[in-house]
Amino acid sequence: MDSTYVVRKTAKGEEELKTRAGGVAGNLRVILILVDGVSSVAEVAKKGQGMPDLVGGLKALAEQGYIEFIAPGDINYDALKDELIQTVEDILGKDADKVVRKLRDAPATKEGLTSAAASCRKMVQLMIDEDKAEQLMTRCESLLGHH
Amino acid sequence: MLIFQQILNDPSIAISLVAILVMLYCLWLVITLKNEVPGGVVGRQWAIVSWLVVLFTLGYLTTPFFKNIPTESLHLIVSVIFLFGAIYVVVTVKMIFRIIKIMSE
Repeated sequence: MDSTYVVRKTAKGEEELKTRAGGVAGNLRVILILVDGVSSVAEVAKKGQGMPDLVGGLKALAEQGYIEFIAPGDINYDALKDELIQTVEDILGKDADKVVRKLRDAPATKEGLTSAAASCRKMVQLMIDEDKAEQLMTRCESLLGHH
Repeated sequence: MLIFQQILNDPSIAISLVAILVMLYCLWLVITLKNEVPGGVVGRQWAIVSWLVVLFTLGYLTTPFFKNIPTESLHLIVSVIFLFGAIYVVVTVKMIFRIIKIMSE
């Protein structure tokens, strides 16, 4: 397994965390929790340092369809940026312009979009609405976590 | 000509007029910027700041007539301006404090 691949939960994996319907064993469940959709295999391994056979656990979860591995080049950050912009427009409505501009100017990379999202949150918190800022950050984190 | 004569006799009139102009500019600024900051931490404080600036403008507009106002009323006006000046400073400092806190998170 290439350690640079990004690991993300599938819909089945998300469902399992909420419902425990698949009865995933305790240690695998912990690994599933560690998968944030942004970190690579190496980064997940670092987070779970000390856990026995974490890489084997990742493979088992992938075989059971709870997670998937994505080559870094396969992530379409331009599409992700469009999704983030759409989210901002949905939440902020007529006040979205300045925040959208900030996102549009952000580089279409994982770091660029993560940083722009955090910056947008501060902007909304200061100038638009504190509750909407939290709502926006939750949605952005979820989107960034899924790519 | 009469007003120039008055200014020469009492330079405080000129200072008051400049102060009124500056305050009117400040009033224009707070009203214009209000649209840019509809809410959030700054927006909420901005509404208070705007009302204080309106109050100051009204207070400043009385300064050229200070000579015609009875001393007791004058003391009251000045003390009210001072009180709201202190509130203005507190609101502004707290707003800056919150901005710094959020920006450094």
